[in-house]
Amino acid sequence: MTRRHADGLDGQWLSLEEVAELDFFKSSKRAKLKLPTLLGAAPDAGEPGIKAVVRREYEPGEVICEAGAYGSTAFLLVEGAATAFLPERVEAKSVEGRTPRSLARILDGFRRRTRRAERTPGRPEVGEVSRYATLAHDRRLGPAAIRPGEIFGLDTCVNFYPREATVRAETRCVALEMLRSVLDTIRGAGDAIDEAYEAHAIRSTLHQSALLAELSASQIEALAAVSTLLTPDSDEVSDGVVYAEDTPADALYLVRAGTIKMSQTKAGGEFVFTYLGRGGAFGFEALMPARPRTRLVLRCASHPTLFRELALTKPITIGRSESCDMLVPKESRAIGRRHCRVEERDGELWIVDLDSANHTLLNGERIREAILAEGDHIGVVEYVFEIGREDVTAVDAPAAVRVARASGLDSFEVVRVPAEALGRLAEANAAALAAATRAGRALETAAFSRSANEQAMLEETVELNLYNSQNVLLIDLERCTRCDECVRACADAHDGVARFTRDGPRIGRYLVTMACRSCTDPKCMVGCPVGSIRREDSLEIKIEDWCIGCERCANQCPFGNINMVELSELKRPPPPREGVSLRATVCDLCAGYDGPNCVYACPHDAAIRVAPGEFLAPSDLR
Amino acid sequence: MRLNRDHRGWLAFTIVATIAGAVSYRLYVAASPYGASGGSWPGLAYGVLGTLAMLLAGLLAGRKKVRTWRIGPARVWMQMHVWLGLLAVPLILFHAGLRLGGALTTTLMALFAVVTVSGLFGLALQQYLPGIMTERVPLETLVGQMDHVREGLATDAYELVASLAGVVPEAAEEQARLAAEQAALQTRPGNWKAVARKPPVTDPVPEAALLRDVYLREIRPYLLRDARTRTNPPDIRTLVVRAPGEWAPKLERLAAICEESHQLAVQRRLHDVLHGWLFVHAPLSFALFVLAAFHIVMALKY
Repeated sequence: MTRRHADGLDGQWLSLEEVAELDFFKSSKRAKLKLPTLLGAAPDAGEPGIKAVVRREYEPGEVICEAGAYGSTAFLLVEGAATAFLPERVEAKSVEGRTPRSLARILDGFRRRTRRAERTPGRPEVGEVSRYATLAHDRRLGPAAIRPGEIFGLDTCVNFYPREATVRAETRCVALEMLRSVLDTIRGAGDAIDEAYEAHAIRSTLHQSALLAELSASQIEALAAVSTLLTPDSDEVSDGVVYAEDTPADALYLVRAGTIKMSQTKAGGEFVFTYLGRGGAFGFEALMPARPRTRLVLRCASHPTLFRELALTKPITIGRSESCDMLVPKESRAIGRRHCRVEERDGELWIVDLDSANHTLLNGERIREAILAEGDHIGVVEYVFEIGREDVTAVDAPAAVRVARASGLDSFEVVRVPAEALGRLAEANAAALAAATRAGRALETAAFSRSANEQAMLEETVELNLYNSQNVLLIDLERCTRCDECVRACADAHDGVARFTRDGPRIGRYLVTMACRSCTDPKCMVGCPVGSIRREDSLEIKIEDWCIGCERCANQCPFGNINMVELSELKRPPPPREGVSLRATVCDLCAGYDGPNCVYACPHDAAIRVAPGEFLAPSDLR
Repeated sequence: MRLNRDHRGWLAFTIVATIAGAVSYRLYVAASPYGASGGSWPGLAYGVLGTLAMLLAGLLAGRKKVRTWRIGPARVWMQMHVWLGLLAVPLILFHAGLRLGGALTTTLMALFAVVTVSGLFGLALQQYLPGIMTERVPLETLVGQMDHVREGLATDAYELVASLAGVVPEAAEEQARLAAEQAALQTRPGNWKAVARKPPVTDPVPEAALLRDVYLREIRPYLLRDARTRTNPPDIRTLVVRAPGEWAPKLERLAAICEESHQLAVQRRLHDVLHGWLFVHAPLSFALFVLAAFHIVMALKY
């Protein structure tokens, strides 16, 4: 029994009985328990209250879902055969203009951007936060066949990233499209969905990682077999911390979803190195050769048999006196009784001439005192001393330890690749290890060469949670006259109720308004009991009319950007439902218009909608 | 509207048009034996162009009524308002032959001058005041919410004082607001914006009398004052010195509430200045258009 219905997902929605009768759902006890509640079974009419599962039919060659499109649903293939493949190049879709009354084309001359983004999203680099990360790598998994009983589109449904692959029907297909609320009821119910998801997540992450580009497909499969997927719920993760400082470095990590913060605890507080989004990698200590941690020594290069090597752990005096640490033969009369001294001052090594008659030379030059470095040569008449290092074999090479803490800033998925397995591969493919090591060093160098202003900007970005914001309404407070035209325009476009508040934290001269930020990882969309908050095929988040006003999304938005509105305040309220008096509202980026009205209606050129990571510069902090 | 590089095109256009107007006016005056006149063809042309410039500038008010219409971004209309409004000045002066004329035209010119000067004054304010407000009022709030925020601050202050000194019967308004909050919380327990309030202490320590006194004498009147009154925030340093050490965090918060109230007052004053000129500019602009229409009808008829 299938019907068309205006509410819920477009398509032929299924009743509770129909869903429960499907083999896939029959096998899941948990799904059996939860589905009646979820679908809001109404015994009188036999109709589900929430249309969260729809049945769709596809003809051969028809596209079921398209790579790059946003969404919030997963698909279960019921009949037929489909293929998932990656097109040559895809980019996530932005908000589309769909207004029929737009005169924008005619008046295109009026259009001008306030400020151009400094760069356009392109190929991600290692460690770069990019919402396009997995869509742009050269190496892709080959076409994958999808058979009946398999679920696809999980990543978009779970993590809300744009779809990774295009899925096309090869034969006539029947698929069920479901909202996350339905998916959640069947995940973890012993249905092997989680296992399949984890295995796919690991494989696709490894295959798409630029770091492992040198490895062959079989080598990557071998790595995938020993790798694990970590989430905040994993046993190895404690309070969101993937690993702490000074713990053994035994694995490399690749970020699949969410944001990871790399930081170090210092006397002044926490020093944030960077934050990594999808496509990023961390934990390079496990790959890099152990740094020499041996001590500096002073040895005699000209007469090695005459002097023993001395570790530079205390001041060393060279001379003829019995009190000297490096005692020169008494017959060397040209050398003073206390000729020169090597000592440490404020963490640096110095050579000091002790008023000798025949001077002290450093690398051939006469000095009174000078800073020493490894490899320097000290000339004392006919003797030449050298600053060297203890032989590595002389002490135990220390095991690699973590130099920073890695912690998740939100819900994340990280693939853990054991260093041991990488090491085995490196023996066969040295280039892979070299590439990974170079990438690690580049990240490290970038972190340490950052200016104070850049560091402040980074920390501010983390503090204000701007790292995963894709589209933020900023107001330039030096231009804004507080006329509130932006708020009025928003209200005009949304049934008389503004979807944002001209208030919020500041970053430099910009106000980060309380408007939806289109997060890469929208927490608001997790756990909606009726699946009414979702993304369709573009960036904006939408709350459907079947919202039951439970306030869960409003409570989960970390920025307070979802507001609950009394239905009586709306000019065109949705059809009345028993017990529902509120509904959630969120900025939808003015879907239906060819741009956000808040920006369009600002007469002072103060309101701008931008991706903060691309727009804000350290100089904006003042 | 902040004048910046985006205005270069408009600036160049206005300068070129003004120079062209001035040159043609000079030629026109030289060629006219009786001097310039608004009734001559060149004079009429200046009048038509000047009126058009004024009309286009004035359309901004209409544009603001249809915020979602795609008829060009509002900032472009504002730029047009500023620069065409300025360009109208020389054009109208050339139309008038640099004379005031009769009673009606003199009134028109006076209105035009006031509208122009008030507009320029507003434009000048917009260059500096937003920056000053940003700097001086870090705790800025929405102007429409200001009274609500002030009430909230007074309630927060009462809650703090009551949690140290017990119920203060004189603060009946604050108690009523707290009770209303509790009632709202009962109806919407899931509302994340609801704040958990601290209950009043039942056995206050002896120092509580001093706190209660300072609260009723200085803090509460300050928080409930008229927002436009210029008053310094109360100095509670003596209270801090004499109060038990464990009160320090709450007293700091009390001082912060007074500071926020002070900032709101500063914001109110700056906001009044930033928008006050519009009370002259907007109605007089309307009057100018009405009189200009009358002038046109009269000129065409007679």
